[in-house]
Amino acid sequence: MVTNLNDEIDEKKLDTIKLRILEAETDNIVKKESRAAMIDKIYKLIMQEVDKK
Amino acid sequence: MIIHKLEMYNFRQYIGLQEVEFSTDLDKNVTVLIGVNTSGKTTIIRAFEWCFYAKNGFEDPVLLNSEVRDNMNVGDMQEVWVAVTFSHQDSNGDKMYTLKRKYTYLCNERTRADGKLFVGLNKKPEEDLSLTYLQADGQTKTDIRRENISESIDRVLPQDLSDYFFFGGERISGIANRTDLSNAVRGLMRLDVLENARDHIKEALKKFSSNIDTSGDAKAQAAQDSLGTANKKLQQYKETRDNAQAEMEYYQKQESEYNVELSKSNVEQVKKAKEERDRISKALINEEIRLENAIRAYVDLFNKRPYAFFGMPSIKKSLEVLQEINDQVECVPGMNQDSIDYLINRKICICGTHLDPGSQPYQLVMQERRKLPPETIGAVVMNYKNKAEGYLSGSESFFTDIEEKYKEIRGIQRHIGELQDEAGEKSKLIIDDTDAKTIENKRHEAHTKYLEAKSDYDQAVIDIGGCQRDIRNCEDAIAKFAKSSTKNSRLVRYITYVSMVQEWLSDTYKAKEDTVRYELQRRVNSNFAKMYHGERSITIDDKYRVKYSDITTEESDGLKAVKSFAFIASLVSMAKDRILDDEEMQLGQVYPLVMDAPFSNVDEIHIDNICKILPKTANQVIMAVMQKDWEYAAVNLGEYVGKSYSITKDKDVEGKEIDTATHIR
Repeated sequence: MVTNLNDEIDEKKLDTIKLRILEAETDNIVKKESRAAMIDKIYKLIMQEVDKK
Repeated sequence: MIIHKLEMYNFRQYIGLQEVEFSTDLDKNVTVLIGVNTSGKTTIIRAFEWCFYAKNGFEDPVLLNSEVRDNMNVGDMQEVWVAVTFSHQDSNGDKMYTLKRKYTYLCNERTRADGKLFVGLNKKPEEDLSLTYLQADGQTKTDIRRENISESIDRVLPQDLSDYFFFGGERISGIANRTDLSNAVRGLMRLDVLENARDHIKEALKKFSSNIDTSGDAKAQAAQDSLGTANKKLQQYKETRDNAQAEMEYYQKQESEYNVELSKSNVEQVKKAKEERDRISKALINEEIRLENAIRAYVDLFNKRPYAFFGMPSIKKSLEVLQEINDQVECVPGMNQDSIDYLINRKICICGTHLDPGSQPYQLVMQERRKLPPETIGAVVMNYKNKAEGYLSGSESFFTDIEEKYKEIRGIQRHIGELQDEAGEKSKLIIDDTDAKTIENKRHEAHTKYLEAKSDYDQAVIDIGGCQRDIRNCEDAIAKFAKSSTKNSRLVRYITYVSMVQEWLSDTYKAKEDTVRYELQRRVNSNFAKMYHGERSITIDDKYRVKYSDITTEESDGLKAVKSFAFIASLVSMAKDRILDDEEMQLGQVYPLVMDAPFSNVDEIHIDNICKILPKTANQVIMAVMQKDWEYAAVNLGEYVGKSYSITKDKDVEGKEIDTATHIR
């Protein structure tokens, strides 16, 4: 999807999002949550990290 | 994953509670359970399989110990259970898990006839399954929801690969015929973490995109609606493609099975015709590849100057017409209308002739004027003619090339037709034999079905491509609108980040999967070469199946065992070496190898070779071996043994072993 790439991307923020997603997915390997729950978790995680000052 | 403990309670011939703690020492990583034939070695592997996957591999499905069963009265209840304690790594380090599967049997009959006792049990015993893990404090136990346990276990130790981890020497041959190991291998190498992340983030992106308010713009709203439809269609096409692919594989397998049957025919004519047809089939495949390449080259060439293809005939025709009128439009070079006007005003030509209006010289000069620039048709025609001729000379070779390519395509198509006819003729020879006739007909039918499935598959791939293009267009339209709306700017910011993470995940996944495939092939061949001293080499196909590069001949059970062992040893060692880990992510996991009589089909030299690489392959090796095999294996493995157990049976007063009272000590 075409996005507003002119927006300033905070590389540190981007790395944090990547790391937190991988952590959530690794933990979910055994304590399996439903697909919908994981999508929601990642959705919220992204909003939280992007909005962080 | 490392296995710490196995507990069995009244499980088959093991009476009472049996506890086996396995070595978790990295230097002495081998645990050995030694027993004579029929002592219960295989039962240990089956206890793991039942506990992990509910697999019951016994002929008599009752798992309860026979002695315990014989002592039950009607209405009595007895439990049989197996518990496995293991550690598994997540983002916070190692966690300790306990998986326990329990059956409760109820006695519903107790009779004695002809001196024989019969104790009847409920056919479907009550089942209880639990998976708990210890929190970081080491005290608090947390249960994993019952409905998620099977999937969780499958992710820790995929069932598709369970025959490799629970490596049964006595039933190894089945392993070589696995259908698809992609999911299992991806799971083992923890590529599923990236795969799941990719899937979830894609959905999160959809959710952000769908929240963009498009109500103010009709085009964006229409794109939003089309996006939903296109996504649904994409899903359907993907299903069609997957089904077609499965069908293709099925019919291809059937065809090759019939081919094998035909090759066993005793009738010389059938044998010969079959060989001939195989040769023709190979030639057909090559010709089809050649045709595909020729068509691609033809299209590429055409795309270089498509306008020339359509424009050339009319340009040629126009030049012919222009040639005819060439004389009529010929004019004095370098002269223009201004020059004539000057002479008319002067009323005297440069030759001295008077140019009086209405006179013949005047009319001739005016006629000449009409042919001259700037406004004459003659000048325009000349101009066009010059350009067209230049253009034509640059495109002549294009036409010749196009023609050559087309001839080549037709030639290949003709050859394919001939080969198909030839194959048909050979088929007729095969069906002269009655038995072979049936097989050949079935083979032909399977081949036709395969082609039908392939056509469906190709169409689905085209449809998917079209659908993906539509989706991109819709997304672009929505994003374009979103950018112009301040209300949506926050969502666009999320989408920007999500898109970047999504791209990173896709690239990373692809790169890591390539590494797995390459490294697996390299290690399998290296391990195989250390164990087997023949000339064969191994390839890993797209579904991670192990195949000989030169396969056609039969293989012995011993060789199958060595091949399967080379595969699993390589896979486990890749996990052990954490080949996918880097600064950005730690995906690696460790795995145990649990083996039942691994040397039963293997000769002494191979036992030696396997034992040399075994302890270095996996972080943990658990093996149940026969006393006689252990004598050979101990030479190389002895120094790595961390824990050792004997499997023994109780004896009755006369000193005879009791089959239903086995213990591990």
